[in-house]
Amino acid sequence: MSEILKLVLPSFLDTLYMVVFSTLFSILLGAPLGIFLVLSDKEGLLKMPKLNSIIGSIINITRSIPFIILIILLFPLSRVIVGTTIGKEAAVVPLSIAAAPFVARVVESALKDVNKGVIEAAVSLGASTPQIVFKVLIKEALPGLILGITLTIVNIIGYSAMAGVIGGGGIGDLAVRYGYQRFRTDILIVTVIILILLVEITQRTGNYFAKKIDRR
Amino acid sequence: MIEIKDLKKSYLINGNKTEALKGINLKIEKGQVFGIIGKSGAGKSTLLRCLNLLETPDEGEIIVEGRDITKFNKRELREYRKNVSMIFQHFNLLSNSNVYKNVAFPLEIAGHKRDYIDKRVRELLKIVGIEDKEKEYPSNLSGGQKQRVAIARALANNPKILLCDEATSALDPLTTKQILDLLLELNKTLGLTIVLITHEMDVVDRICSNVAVMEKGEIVEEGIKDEVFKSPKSKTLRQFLQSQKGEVIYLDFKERAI
Ligand SMILES: Nc1ncnc2c1ncn2[C@@H]1O[C@H](COP(=O)(O)OP(=O)(O)OP(=O)(O)O)[C@@H](O)[C@H]1O
Ligand SMILES: [Mg+2]
Repeated sequence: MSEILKLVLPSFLDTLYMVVFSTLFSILLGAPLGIFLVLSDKEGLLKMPKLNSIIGSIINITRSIPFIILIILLFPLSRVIVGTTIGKEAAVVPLSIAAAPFVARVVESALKDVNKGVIEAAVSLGASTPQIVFKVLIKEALPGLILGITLTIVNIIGYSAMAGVIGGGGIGDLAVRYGYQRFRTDILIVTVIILILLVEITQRTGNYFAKKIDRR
Repeated sequence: MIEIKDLKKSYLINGNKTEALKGINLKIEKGQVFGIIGKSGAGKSTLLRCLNLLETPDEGEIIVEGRDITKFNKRELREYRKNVSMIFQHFNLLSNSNVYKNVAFPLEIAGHKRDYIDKRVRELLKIVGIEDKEKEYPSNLSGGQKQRVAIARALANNPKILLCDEATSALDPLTTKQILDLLLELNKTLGLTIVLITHEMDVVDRICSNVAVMEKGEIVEEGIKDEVFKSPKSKTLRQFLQSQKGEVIYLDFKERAI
């Protein structure tokens, strides 16, 4: 039992590290894109349809590349950014970039759900575009945003297991090295249980907060 | 106060052009409660929304206090909009903000200090008669209460003009009456100029000093309400007055039956 713990705990922490930082960076990259998609829409506040469709296409292309291939393509970038292509730090780079377009779409769809009349009321009161983004769009869409980010985290948990196999470490890596290559079924089972729990807890927490702050 | 000159606006949808405004000329003086009536699709909302440039007119001028608002740049427009507020049929309150925060919103975006905002919000809630609701969220309020919040929000930055787009159309008759009384009181006490559009004749009858009738993107008659109503010229107004009478008779009949 303690042997399993000794193996699993560091891997679990590595996974946590990958998930937390990848989520953070993917939001940092993806959320502004999502906001821009909403504003630049032909019915949005900034109306820049050309740029909107260019960015939309880039996002679609990125999202249509299978994740495992995207990671292989992006790992070299890790060498440039974090100086290595191995380990949890290295995995954060492709994970963040791969999840960013997803975040962009999630943010876009949550913000597009905001009642047009409310936005119009803010415009009629003399609000500027940044004020509308932060005080109206994000605030009104917060429950949807939280659910979207939850979905992103769940995806990143899955992705991180794949990234682990290619050299990121973490639970996925452990499952393959011990569970698959060394026929340690017990470790395989433990890793699967941990992943299930991680997803379950994430989803429940997300649902709880989304519901709690929704006043509609 | 407001002078509209030859205002035109058309919409292009799938190659089909709808002329929503076909050259509107209109003068609205300070302190008036100006009603614009007309059938559905006549262009009432389009006209009203041009007055704060929620819609951009294609041609024409809108002179407000001596300045053509259609020539404003973005910053001038935002400043102007703080002087001209709007209330809506469906209230359009921030659903994830409570009453206090909703009323504070225009004050925050105008960059006021916390202390001032606090004082002003309480003052406004008192004016519209919902001091006790400041912590409630819009979903827990009745239609009339929501419109009171919207009115408080609209008044926050001391506008000179209030635009009302079917502001009572989602309310029951009694609540409608109360909101209209409030608007009339604001008109009297604050000297607020009110421009409202409606298809309810009772609304016009109750609070408007002046009225304009629209048909298919044009103003077909206009003037002091009592005079216009005494000798209606347009088909629309005659029909409206008739149906209003019809309703009154019907109500009398029902009341007698009870
Ligand atoms: N955003 C828009 N896009 C396309 N056409 C529009 C738009 N807004 C209004 N129109 C058209 O312009 C005309 C005038 O519409 P408007 O909403 O001003 O009428 P209204 O008098 O307010 O009607 P209602 O009483 O139904 O609110 C209508 O033919 C309408 O279909
Ligand atoms: Mg209308």
